[in-house]
Amino acid sequence: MAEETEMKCLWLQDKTLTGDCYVQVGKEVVDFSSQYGSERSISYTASNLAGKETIYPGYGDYTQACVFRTYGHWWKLAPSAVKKFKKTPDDFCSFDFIEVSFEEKVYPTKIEVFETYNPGCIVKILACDSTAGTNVDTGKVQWVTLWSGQPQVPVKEAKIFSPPLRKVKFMTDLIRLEICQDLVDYYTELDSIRLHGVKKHNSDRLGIVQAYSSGFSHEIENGLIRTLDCPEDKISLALQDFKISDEDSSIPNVAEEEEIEYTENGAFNCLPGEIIQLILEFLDIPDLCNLAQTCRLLRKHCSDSLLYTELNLQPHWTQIRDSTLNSLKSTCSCEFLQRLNLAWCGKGGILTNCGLSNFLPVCSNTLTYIGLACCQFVDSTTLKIVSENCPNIEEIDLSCCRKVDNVAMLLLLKFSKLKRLNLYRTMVDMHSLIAVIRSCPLLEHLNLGSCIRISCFDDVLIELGQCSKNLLTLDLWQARTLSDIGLKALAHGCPLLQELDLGWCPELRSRTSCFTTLLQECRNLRKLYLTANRTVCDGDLCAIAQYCPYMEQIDILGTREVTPDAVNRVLEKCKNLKFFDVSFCGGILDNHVTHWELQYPYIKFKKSYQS
Amino acid sequence: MQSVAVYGRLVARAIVAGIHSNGEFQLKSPRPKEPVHFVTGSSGFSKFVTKTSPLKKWTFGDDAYFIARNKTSDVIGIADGVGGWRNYGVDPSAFPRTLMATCERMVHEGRFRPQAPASVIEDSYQELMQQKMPLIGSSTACIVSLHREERTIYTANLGDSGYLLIRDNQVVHRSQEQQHYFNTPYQLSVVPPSQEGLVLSDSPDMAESNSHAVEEGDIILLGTDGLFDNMTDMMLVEYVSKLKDFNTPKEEAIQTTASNIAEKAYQLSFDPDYLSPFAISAIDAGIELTGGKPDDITVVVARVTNLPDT
Repeated sequence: MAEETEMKCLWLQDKTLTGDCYVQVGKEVVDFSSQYGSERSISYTASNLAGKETIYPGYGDYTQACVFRTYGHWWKLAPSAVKKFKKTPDDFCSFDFIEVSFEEKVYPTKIEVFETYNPGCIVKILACDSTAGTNVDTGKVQWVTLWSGQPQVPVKEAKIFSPPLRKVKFMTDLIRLEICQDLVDYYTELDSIRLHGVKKHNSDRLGIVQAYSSGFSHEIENGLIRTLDCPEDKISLALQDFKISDEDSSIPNVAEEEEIEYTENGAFNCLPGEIIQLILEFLDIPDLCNLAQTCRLLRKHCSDSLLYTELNLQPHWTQIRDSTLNSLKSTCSCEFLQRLNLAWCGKGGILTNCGLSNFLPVCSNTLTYIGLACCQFVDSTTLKIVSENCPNIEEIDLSCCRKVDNVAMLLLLKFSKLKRLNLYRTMVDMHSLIAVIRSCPLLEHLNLGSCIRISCFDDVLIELGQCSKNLLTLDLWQARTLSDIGLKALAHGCPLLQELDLGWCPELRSRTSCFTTLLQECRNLRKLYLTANRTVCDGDLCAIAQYCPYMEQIDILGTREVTPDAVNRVLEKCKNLKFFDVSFCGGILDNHVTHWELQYPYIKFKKSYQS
Repeated sequence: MQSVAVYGRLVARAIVAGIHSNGEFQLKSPRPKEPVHFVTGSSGFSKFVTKTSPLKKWTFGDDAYFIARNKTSDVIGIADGVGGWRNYGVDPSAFPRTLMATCERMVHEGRFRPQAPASVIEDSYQELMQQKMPLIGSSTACIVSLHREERTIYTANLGDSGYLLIRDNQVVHRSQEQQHYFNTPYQLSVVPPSQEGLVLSDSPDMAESNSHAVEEGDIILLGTDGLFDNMTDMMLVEYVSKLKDFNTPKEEAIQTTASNIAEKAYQLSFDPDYLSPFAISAIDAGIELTGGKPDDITVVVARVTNLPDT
């Protein structure tokens, strides 16, 4: 009998059964927003979160860990930083996410995340209910927050993170973690995740679940299904109400409304409209929706189109459906909308090209920024809709849109005013990219990180050197094929360059003097990442000291060819330096770093370690 | 003393692994020929006995090895680091150790086709460049993977480590040593920028690949050159033949065999009068030399065994 149980455990592989509680480790990482490692690698990649823990209780910077692309606030200080959106809720700090599937569906009772480097970055845990609802308008899946909180002040030890979870009344086999690395000194690294859960509710549990669920089940009213996944996310409901009452009053004419205002709104009538508008500027979207339901005066102000020059819908990604966009369109007068962020939206098909094509005509001439990061539905049709409706787009973020390929890219040709293009982890190929570069002479910011389909980065950079004279920032993280030929062409052609990420470009060799050429030509450089280029040497650091006085961020991780003297020279000459990553540099010891930290307290030195 | 500690751990590991495969057997539909698996034992010595640093897992001096299993196969790998890197201030054991650890991860994570062990060498070698830590060194590599259901071993070998396939006290197959010249095997390398082009570095696809059908009771013996340079095939077969005394040799017996072989090789390597296989090939190469060859020694003995039913 004992043997049989053992067999069963083994058969279930990484799963154990204790009482009626299942404990499982992650089966597969199904989606994520960024990763440090390269696409086909097993080092520092998101997929490492699946499976048993391999590092814990060890603490350090290990290859077997799941690592995201960036950390801290350095990203936000770099020239490539995107302007922060107005009306982002204060408590929304998620920057990255990762979704892990499990073998068996369970009612989650406990989740353990093994954090093996710079812990404390998990700010939200969500569970997917894949059987919720069958209505086509609301989609089949919904995400429910099991826990949310603020990032912790990091401690330097391995941790098992296991916060108290909200009880839910559905079984799940898909868990999502949201990460905020604002507080940590260096990359956070996750080893493994365990999901504890039960297959059956006992009566006690059911009682709790019902108590919880009563606030957020489906309600049918006026023939509209309103789906809410938790009480604090009220955007859908609010928007629907907004719309419904609009219909009730059968669009009152302006004169009528003004009359009412002056008789019924007490002290608010004394406030000039401009002041009210100014106050409303500070509210986020759900607040505005709620406020709009209080009285006609505030409704009028809440639907003022000047409040909606920027819409950041990323914090509300679980709620943004085709119907939400539709409500926004009809109630919030978005005709002056300039910046629209839909990042992370559209999970489980709740937002589609159809919804987007209904919405975009409203703001067709004003829209300059559209953020579609990690939107699974984005494909060539999406870009066609955007290009047909919004000819004035200047900034477009397509990072992690895995369906964006060469066909989709050709639709970008119409955006002749394009200044910012983020193609991180997309499937673009070299030829379509070159065509886009030719048609967008104003390009300033380009992210080509981890684009595995680009067969020859040299040709791309030669084209950039010829066409993109205004280029300020370029991300070439993991550009495996880039050689000195491409880099030199870029250096000669783009003298304004302020930021260049050459992390993990193994074919660049210092002895070809490609780095010194770059530094000589691009003297405005503020951020230069030479991560894991094993050839970076003292000569390159001396060139930084000599030519680039504005340098703020340098990363030379993983070279053995650099001595403390050369680093000293950079420290003396680059007065604006804020960040210097010298991790895994054989020639630079801990005591050097300690010494520098005392001498240059305003510079953050990074020296990562394995154990 | 230290060696004893090693054996204890390895035996425990072999037992755990044995139970594991029991479980998997339950999943499979009956087949005309029952699947087989490896029962393994391993042992070895570092050349620098006096300088024994705290023992690192699965290494003997600059040698490294691993034994791993996944759903379809049992895999053994050994690698021998090139000691010359010590002169450059580089720990020569880091490269083979990391290479083997990466191969092991590849096997565990299922990024491995049992029929193509050469590709796991290639993939792991590529993976070494993806580490933040700049790794420098050179190593030989030999991988033997047993496809349990096909009852076939697939092998890949680069350099002068190798394996013997022994059936009924006969060497049925012996891997070929790959050498550029005497005592300089083919090797995978990652070299510092200043040494690029100056140091031997062979491509992982130079590995010699082979496959052999195996039967219950076959012995696969893997070793680094520290073993094969000091012991002839005949001596090795003699040790292995003692396993016949057991009807169904247990892990302990196989472990003891591995230990005995390693000890004998170690003794011989310091015998100045012994005409070792190394000395013979030295003489063939025109170098006057007698005695054993002191080197790091790693031995892995694997017996092909039917999976026990229930």
